[in-house]
Amino acid sequence: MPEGIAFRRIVAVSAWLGIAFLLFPVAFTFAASLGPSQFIEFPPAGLSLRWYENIARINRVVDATLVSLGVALLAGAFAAVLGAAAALALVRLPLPGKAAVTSLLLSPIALPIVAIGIALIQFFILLGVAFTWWSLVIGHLVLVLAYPVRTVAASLTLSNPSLEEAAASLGATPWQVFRTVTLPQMAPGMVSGFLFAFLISFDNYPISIFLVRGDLTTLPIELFNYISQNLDPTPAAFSSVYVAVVAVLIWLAERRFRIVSLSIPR
Amino acid sequence: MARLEIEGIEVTLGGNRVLHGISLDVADGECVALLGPSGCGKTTTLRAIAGFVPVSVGDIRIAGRSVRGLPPHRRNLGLVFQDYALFPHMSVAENVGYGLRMRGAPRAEIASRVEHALALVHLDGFGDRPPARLSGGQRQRVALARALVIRPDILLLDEPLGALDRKLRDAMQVELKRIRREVGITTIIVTHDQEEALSLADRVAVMFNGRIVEADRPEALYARPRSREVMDFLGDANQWPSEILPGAALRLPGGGTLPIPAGADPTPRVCRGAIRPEHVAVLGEPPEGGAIPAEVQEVVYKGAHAELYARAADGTALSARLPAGAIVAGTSPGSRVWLRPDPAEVLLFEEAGR
Repeated sequence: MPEGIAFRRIVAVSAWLGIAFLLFPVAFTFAASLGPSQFIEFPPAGLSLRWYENIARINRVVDATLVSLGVALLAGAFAAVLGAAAALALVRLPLPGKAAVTSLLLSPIALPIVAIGIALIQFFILLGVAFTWWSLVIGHLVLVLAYPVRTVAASLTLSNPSLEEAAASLGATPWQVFRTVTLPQMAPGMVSGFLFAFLISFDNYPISIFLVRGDLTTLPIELFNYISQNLDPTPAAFSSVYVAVVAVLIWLAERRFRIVSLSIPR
Repeated sequence: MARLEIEGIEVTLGGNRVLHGISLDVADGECVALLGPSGCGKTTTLRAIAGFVPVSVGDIRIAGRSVRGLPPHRRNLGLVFQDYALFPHMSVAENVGYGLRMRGAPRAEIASRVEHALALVHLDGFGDRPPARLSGGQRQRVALARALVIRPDILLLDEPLGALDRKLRDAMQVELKRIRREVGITTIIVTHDQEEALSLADRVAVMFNGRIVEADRPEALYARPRSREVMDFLGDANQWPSEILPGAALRLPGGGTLPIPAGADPTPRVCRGAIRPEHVAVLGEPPEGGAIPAEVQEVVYKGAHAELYARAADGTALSARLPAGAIVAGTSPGSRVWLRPDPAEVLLFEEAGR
């Protein structure tokens, strides 16, 4: 059928264009990071790793990386656990006002992030805990909590509720049912939700900028500071390393937990 | 293995009473099918036995002990779900051994009992596979092994053959009967499929609207149902508004008469006559004695037999079952035939309100 073939070609071309559009910035950044010139240049005039060595010259790069890593790990972990609990209640229990609770939990995605940042810093000043490491974790938690709620809810919706009844009929106590059946069903959602939360926290600028001061800064803030004062390709080199690390993380998570299947039904 | 006594249970779900006093006594080792259309309460009854829905009135006793208020995990029942509900994150052996692990059985004992259970359902050597790599019939057998390995007091099967295709159903029917015979366990089967109920159970309880309307051996229930609803639900039935005339004669559509069945009350009254299509003879000429003159509407070939659909002069729809070899000329649509019910197989139902 010629019409069918034409249609499939159009779909294929669109798909490849889409992939190219998504990959171009990554490829461009990587290519630019390898150039020897003082300025970002495309295509690069030669090959050099000097900007990778220069990453060390970003202000407080090690400290800021550690702060960002710690905050993202904790905010992600808290979000995964709290989000899983919320999703379990929302999917499995006959709660009143489910829709309202769901919208409330997902609202940080819809609100302007700057507004959240302003609200958070005023809240923390009021409590007298502003500009502390923990306030940074809590602030990021507010932002990222929505992601695990969604992914764990997806995991639970895909799983069969009669599994839990089967376990109970086989003699498992409610706690054993949760540990051996419910939790493994939620695991892919928790892992992918944690990854989302971790990456969004690690990458966050607009909330952090309100919550940091002096020697407590995060990596994105130091990167912006660097870019605002230098035009060399060091940030490109840094971004390439970042993309590579994240790609490996996601690949591992997919191999172990099939997280992609949560967002793309097979 | 144990006796199951259900005593007048009522269940209310979401404000609706779904069971109106179900009573059923299942002997040790007996297999009873709960049969009825969807929404009749048969699955709710099963879930009440298993402890997943609370019983508001009445009692359930297993081996003489009341299980009212006992949570599902302390009832020691083997439950096979319609969709099997195998744990997808565990291998076949881990699935089968689950109940034993939860009971804290020693490893060696678990291993040997799992192996034995898999052998019982003819799945030796499948222990390491994930459930996703099994066929529908194999999954069902894993679910059965998983339920039986804990040596439950009672086996509960929810639409056990519902998800299988025709050929596999027949094979699994035979397989289920064999396993039940080997284990000898008290069994409750919930099904909407009359063939499944009639072929698997020692006794069938027909349920309508949250009540058991009739419970009997399959042959008795099919051949001598006590109500027209049960007759209609179990297989095909011809029924016509009738009356008993003086002289113990039953009126047929079209004016003919048959002698009433032996033992029936000969008092003249209005009633309903009924007969299964396989007990209706199709004749090309008016016979001696009672027959129903009718016009053939359609003959449907069904392989081993053919179904003849006809209409009597007063509009009553009738059907007769012809052996495939007996599809004679003259039984084409529009032709005239005489349908003669076998007087020994005719059933009488009193009209409601009498």
